[in-house]
Amino acid sequence: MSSGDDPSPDATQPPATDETGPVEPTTGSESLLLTYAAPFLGVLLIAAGLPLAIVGGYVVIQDSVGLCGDPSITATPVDEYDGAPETVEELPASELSPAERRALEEAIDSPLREGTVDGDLANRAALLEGAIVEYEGNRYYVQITSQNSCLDVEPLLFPIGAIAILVGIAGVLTPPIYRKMAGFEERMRRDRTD
Amino acid sequence: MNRALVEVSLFGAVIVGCLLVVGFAQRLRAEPSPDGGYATDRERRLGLGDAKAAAVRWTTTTNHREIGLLYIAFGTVAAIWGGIDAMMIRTHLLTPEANLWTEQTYNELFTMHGLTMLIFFVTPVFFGIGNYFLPLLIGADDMAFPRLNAIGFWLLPPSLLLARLGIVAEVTGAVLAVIVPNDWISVLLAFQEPAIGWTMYPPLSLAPNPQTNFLLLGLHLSGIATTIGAINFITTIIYERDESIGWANLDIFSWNMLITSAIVIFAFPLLGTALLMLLFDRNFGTTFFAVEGGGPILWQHLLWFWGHPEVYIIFLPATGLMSLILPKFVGRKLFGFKFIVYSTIAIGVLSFGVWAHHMFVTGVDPRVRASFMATSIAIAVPSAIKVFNWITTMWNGDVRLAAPTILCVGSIGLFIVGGVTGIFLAVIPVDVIYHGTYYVVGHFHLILMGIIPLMMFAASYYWYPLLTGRMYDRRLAIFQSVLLVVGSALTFMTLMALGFLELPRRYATYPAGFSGLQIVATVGAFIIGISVLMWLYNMIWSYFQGTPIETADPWELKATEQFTPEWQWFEDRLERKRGVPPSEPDSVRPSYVPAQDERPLSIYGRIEPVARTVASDAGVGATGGFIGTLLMSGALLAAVVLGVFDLESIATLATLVGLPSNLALGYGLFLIAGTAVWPLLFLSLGEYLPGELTLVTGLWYATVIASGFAIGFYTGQTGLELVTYLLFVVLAHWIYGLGLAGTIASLGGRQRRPSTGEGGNE
Ligand code: HEM
Ligand SMILES: [Cu+2]
Repeated sequence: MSSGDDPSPDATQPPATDETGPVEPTTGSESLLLTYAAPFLGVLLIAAGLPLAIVGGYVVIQDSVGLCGDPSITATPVDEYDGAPETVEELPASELSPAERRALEEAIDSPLREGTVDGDLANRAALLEGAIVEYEGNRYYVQITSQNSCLDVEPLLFPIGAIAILVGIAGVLTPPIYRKMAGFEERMRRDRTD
Repeated sequence: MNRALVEVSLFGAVIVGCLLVVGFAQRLRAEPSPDGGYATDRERRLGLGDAKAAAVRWTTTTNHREIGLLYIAFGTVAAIWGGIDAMMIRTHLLTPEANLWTEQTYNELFTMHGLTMLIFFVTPVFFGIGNYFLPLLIGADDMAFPRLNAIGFWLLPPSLLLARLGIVAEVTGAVLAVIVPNDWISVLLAFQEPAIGWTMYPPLSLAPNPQTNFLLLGLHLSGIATTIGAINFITTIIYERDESIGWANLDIFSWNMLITSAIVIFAFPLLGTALLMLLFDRNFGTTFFAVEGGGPILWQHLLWFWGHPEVYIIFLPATGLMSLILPKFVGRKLFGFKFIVYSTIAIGVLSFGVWAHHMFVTGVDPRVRASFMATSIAIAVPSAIKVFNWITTMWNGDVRLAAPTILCVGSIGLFIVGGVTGIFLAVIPVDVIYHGTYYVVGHFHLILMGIIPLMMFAASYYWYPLLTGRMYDRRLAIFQSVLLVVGSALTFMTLMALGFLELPRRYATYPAGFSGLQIVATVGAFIIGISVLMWLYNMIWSYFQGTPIETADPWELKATEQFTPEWQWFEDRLERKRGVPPSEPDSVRPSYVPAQDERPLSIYGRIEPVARTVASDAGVGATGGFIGTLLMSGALLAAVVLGVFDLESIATLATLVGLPSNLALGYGLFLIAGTAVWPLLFLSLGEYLPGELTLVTGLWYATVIASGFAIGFYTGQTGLELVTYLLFVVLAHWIYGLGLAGTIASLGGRQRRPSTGEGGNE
């Protein structure tokens, strides 16, 4: 399928159909093992290697890129709830840590009402539950929406996954590689006998 | 990680990959081979002028084949986009905590995955296949309204863009944020893909994300496009058929498209209205779905009244393709053609009567709920008829190894698992437990993935020579098909297993104990992803480099007399363009004798004979069933007198459809079932029960259904009583079977067909 010139079928490649119908896809001389089994194993390896590499790779970069550890909070004005239910805890703004205060300001300004707590999260328990914070005259319902916890797996998974993918690719490419090699040997032998 | 950037990069990578394949394949084609080779027939140097001409041509065409290709290309793009969503969902679920992306992102992913797949992938691809092949199959020159056809297609790209504007805005915003201050682009940053679930239940969908408005507008626009397409199909099939094509020999794919389009006409306007109501609620302060107004449950009713038929809108064309393609590769005519058509019509009608099974857990009145359970289980019958007919078509056939064969057989298998698990879900107590778990995800993906895309792939292989004049790489295709089937089974059976363990769905995090199975499911999903890329590669590469075919009959259809009109069209074209002479097969064996009906003039005149056959088949069956049931009642009465059969079990029958337990009502239902349901099944399944005579077949049939009856009506008898009970059950059923089959035989309703095919319909 790879070596081809134009429309007319070339010598290394049998035509797909003849006047009566299709030509069998796999000729008898080909080994089923190399044509189907090896690529199949290859795909399995790639498919398993992908998650390994993703998870392993993520662990490697998560710290340097700052992808984890900073939870995000949302702040919704309480009047959108038609009066706050009594059961929600009130959290005085004075108890907020500087990082929490910064996140709250960010959330109030942001169109998505979200902010990232970049630093000490003193009121983790209260904010996980959700609490009402009065800030500069407005009351907000503030809650942690994502904890962004750090992923904890062996970084070694990354190389393992990468190797699995590479070996897998080789597996998938076995049939054309094999055919190329067989053609090569054929030609060498012919050259020698000539 | 920024989800939007990752998604757009992956999408870009796939597109760039495709372009590279195209470029490489073209270069190889342009290079004369070293041994002198063949002169290239046309030098493909694309100048600006050519590009402009091509752009004008493709944007203004009204040719049904070109519009069909546009639809298919659009659907493929949407599928890749939605597929990337799916891969990202599965990647997210690799770890029990929400590490790789946040919870919010996860919700966005599954919302937009569902919508993109259902709305922008499946329907457009099927409409594309319909546009290309339906006129060829029925011998029409074009669709009935070519311009409307073009409009119907061109509404789709803007609707997809509107629906997914969030991601475009997010990426633009994220890129701009690097160079301009955040304040300037806060409008862009406010867009975010909705994270409300594809069902858009209020009050979640009333949350103030501006993108939700665009999503609703996009969906509305796509609904209009779909309705336009459906009107076009219906008109084309009714008015544009060739003289030689009557209703009786209208091919099965066109039948399916006709019925699908009919469902669309009834379902989509409703969705459009509901979407507008939701838009009004969001922006103009109406309260259709607010608690103080119509209430969120109203939305659920409206959505599912569209949503369940929608399931069949995307499923029926797939069964049509199966019924069309499978026979070609097993060398046998489709078994029980007529009953497949009936079952399709039955599904079309029933699909509007089952919507509330999606709402079993919302506190619908229990009696109403029970009747929805009954109809939901009943809708399985026509689907089962289809499966039986497919399996029988393969039986004794001359099954040939090719990618479409693998896809057909694989998807019948996956569909059986998906269908059976669906029947369980229709049972209220089971649904209450499994509703919110991965069981549901596994079930519907076995159907959504297991038959819909698989049949699209099968069609793409089957018609590839016709579309391109070349053959795809058949080894790669066989390999790819196997991978796809294996990957789908692995992924969704694993989700099923997770469901049995009652892992709730739609959560971004899960207990660590499930991570093993989640990883298996992810690996399966990547296998699917890889196989889809292989298909894409095969399609593109072979377009430039595939071996040209030497005959218009690449599948040896002439040898089994299945050389259908679209191939005939292709043969004429090949002869005109390339001078390829029509081929003659070595030997011909009949696989069917087409019924050549006169084509009457009025619509009424055309529908009337069909209706008459349906009515007479149904009438004879019903008469037989009624007589059989009365005879059977006598036998059961004897059992009651002997004290081995409890009348109470008949009475409780009424509770199944939400009526109070009452003997008269129960018996009434019993009569109705015996008159309507079982004879219909007999007419369609009787074909492959043993026995040359109808009577013998009737006995076999009765024996089979007796086993179900024995279990269903068992009321705790033991010892000898049990033995007697079983004896009477079998006896009563034999009487029923004899009554049913005897009546049918004497009224001449059912004709046995020779195993090679069916001789017309009269
Ligand atoms: C590689 C193939 C696919 C994979 C791995 C996949 C995976 C998933 C996953 C994990 C979910 C989220 C389930 C949840 O927790 O709620 C989902 C939802 C969904 N998928 Fe797929 N999917 C695939 C293909 C498809 C296809 C082909 C379709 C439709 C034609 C489809 C339609 C849907 C729909 C409608 C939902 C929303 C379910 C809901 O939450 O109500 N998927 N998919
Ligand atoms: Cu449903």
